[in-house]
Amino acid sequence: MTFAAYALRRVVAIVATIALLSLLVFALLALTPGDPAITLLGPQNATPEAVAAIRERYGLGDPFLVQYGNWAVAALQGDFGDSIRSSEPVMSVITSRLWTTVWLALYAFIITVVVAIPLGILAAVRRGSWIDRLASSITLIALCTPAFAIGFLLIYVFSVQLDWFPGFGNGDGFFDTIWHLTLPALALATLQIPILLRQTRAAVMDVVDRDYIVFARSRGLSRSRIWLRYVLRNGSLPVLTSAGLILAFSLAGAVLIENVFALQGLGSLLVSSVGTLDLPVVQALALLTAILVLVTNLVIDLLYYALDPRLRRAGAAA
Amino acid sequence: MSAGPLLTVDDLSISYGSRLLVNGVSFALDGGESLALVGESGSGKSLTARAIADLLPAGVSATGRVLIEGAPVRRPRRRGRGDSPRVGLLMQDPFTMLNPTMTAGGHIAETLRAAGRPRAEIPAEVSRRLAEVGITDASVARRYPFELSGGMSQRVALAAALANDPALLLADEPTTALDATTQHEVLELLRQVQRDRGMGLVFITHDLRVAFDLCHRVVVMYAGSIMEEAPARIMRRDPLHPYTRGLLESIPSTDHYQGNLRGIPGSVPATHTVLDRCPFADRCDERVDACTHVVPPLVEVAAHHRAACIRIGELVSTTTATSVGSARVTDHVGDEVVVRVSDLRKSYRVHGGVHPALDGVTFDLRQGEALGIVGESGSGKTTIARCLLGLTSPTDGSIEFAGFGVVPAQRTAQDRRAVAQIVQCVFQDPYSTLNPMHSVGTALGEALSQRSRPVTDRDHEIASLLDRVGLPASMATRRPASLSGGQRQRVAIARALAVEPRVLLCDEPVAALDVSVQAQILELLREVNRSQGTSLLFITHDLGVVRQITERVLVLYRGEVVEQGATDVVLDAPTHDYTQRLVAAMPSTHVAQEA
Repeated sequence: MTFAAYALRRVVAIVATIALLSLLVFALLALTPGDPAITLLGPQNATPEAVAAIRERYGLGDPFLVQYGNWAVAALQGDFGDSIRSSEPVMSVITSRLWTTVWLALYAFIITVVVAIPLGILAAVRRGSWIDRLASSITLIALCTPAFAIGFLLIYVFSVQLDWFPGFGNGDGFFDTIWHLTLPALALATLQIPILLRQTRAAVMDVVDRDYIVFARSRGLSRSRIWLRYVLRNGSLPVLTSAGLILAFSLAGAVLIENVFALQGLGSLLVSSVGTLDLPVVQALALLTAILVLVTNLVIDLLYYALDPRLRRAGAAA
Repeated sequence: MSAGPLLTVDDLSISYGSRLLVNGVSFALDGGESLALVGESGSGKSLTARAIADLLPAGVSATGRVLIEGAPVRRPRRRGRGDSPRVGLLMQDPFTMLNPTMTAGGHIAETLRAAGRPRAEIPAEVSRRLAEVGITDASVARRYPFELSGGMSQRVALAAALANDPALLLADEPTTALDATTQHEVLELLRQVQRDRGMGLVFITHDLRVAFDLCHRVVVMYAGSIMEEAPARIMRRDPLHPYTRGLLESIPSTDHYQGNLRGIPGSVPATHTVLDRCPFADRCDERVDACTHVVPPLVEVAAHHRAACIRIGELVSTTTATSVGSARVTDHVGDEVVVRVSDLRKSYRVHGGVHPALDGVTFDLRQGEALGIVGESGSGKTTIARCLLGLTSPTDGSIEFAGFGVVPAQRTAQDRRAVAQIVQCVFQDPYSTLNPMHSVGTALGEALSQRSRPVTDRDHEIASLLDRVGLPASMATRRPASLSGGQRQRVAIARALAVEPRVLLCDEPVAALDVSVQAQILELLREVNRSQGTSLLFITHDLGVVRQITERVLVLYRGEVVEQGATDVVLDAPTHDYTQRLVAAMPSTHVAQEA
């Protein structure tokens, strides 16, 4: 099977998964206790006329599957209805916040990769040395410190005391945004670094003890070749998996971090929307998160396919 | 070629931290010569090879001198491009030696490049190097290691190891992980390559027969020291050191039945515990008091023949017992059929197709009989065992046990319990078959509770079980980690015997053990077979083991029984093509054969 065929098969599987998930997401409305019309309007707006209007608009009298069909068709066109709190269309509420979170996630991910992978490799190669012990200590401390505590600590040191970075807000324009996002990204990366560092250390340790490394050295291959073509290539597969998971679950991390740093992103939007039972927004966010996770997984799978010949040949035989 | 030896190893000691693993080893090798380093686990043979290649594992350090063509071996990290190592290394496991994400040709090409070959020459050179190791199929170069068989992988690895034309090749048990017939082919290839290139070869093995067949000279190591060194021809005919003799006698003969299998009692000690004495003293029949407090020097006893034994002058050369055949005892075999396997079939689905692992296998096992099942990996011999034990369900055919009847294809829990009282199994790896958290007594007690006959005095029964397998009753409180491989396998046998089974299914029960321990375990199994009339179903690839243990043998090839009959008849006059190849591939134990 060619790469394109493999990719196509995976995309079809993802579309099917999303369709199934959308059904569950839509069912949230029916599962919420009380009259769906009142849920959609919010109790304070539920005048009899408004209730009648919303019933009419969403077809709440129709059978469940018809309702779902109408919702799904609208959702495909980017229409998730109106936010209950702000009465704005859900899509515009989300897009206004999307980029903050995307930048935060990418920024944190880059910090994570740049710190965790080299440190993990070093720790694995110099097993038991001071650098390995340092890496283990960092991992342990970071793992058992709550995210909000790290956030407050960063704000106190770098914003209040040193005044290097702003402690809250989104900023305007590219550089200002980067400047504003530095502390939040650091806080988010602190959550992610231990996971990736441990994975990298374990993966490299597993590979450097293999016979094929000894065999490669015995044939006089250069150190750079052994590192790139042997250690990193074979160690990259498990690291890739956890890196993908970290990226996919950035949104979950963003929920806390955005609240600590008063950022107007998807994480803080999710918290406030759940708090006010703003169901259309919650539905859209849930679906968006699912798509994010699935697409990240797809990218990882395709990378795996390119990196691991066993997978390529297994695909070819199937 | 420079004057002087190709390889000089001078007082090489290897230690891990403060623990000494190899104790002052010295030997030399000329260009074009082949030398076998023979030893059991813990002898330090592999570490010696790694030290010669300057590729010791992290934390392991060496003292002493290793010279290649008169110059010290340089660490690979300090070597410049195009300055190739003079020493190549071939390792044991063909499946872990190659980079799983690189093609076969890639391995050879990268070595050629590192040796400074111009890029344009490389593709043609890769095919030439593959042809040298007998691979003419051009598509092999593009295959990945997981797409190659064990023998093919080992050939590719050999081509890669030879790509920078080393003056010396170290081959560390390169055929141990292969099937008998493939093993034979790879050994022939090594012999041919070594001769054609005039290359030095250090061949590491645990098998003296292979060493004699392949190499000019043999060095026997034990617990980190050299015991004996001699030209292969001379050592084969006239081994001097009691350990070498013991090792030779321990090898089960493929040629004839031996009435008494003589192993070496005890097991190999750790090097650092025997520094002030002869390391072999505790297991030696010729021991005198001085042996346990004097280190015997390695002295020249004849031309080119060195041995480390203080009694070497007194020990007269004896003809080894292996050359004497004995009559087979068969009076313990009864008439009752204990297991009847009829037209057993098992197939697996792979890649949409159906792969038959067993294609209609039929045999009977009588009470007290020892039946061997021989075949290479993939022949289906383990599938038969799994079907009998109920670990997998046959696709078709039937299995019938005496006193139970035909076993249903899908066994109920009740069936399993009943069958477990008839058939018990001894597995290959004694290190993973015992629960490390359970003491020996707990493991045996648990097995006793599965027995149909009620247990009256548990502790007494455990002690007598241990006694049956030649272990002291005090062993009951020990945990597996503190036991040697042979002791663990004895415990595994005792555990199987605890339920008083009618059939003992042995799946390569000695393949993971040291040669000197194998004979002890085989003798124990023989004794169990004869004194209690327990039938043995013996799965193995080793024809020597088959000759010694079994009266009858089935030869399995690709899921079918291609030949069966009395063991002596099948091995002496094989009729099927595969059996003939199998018999031809076995290294001979015949001492007088080479003269």
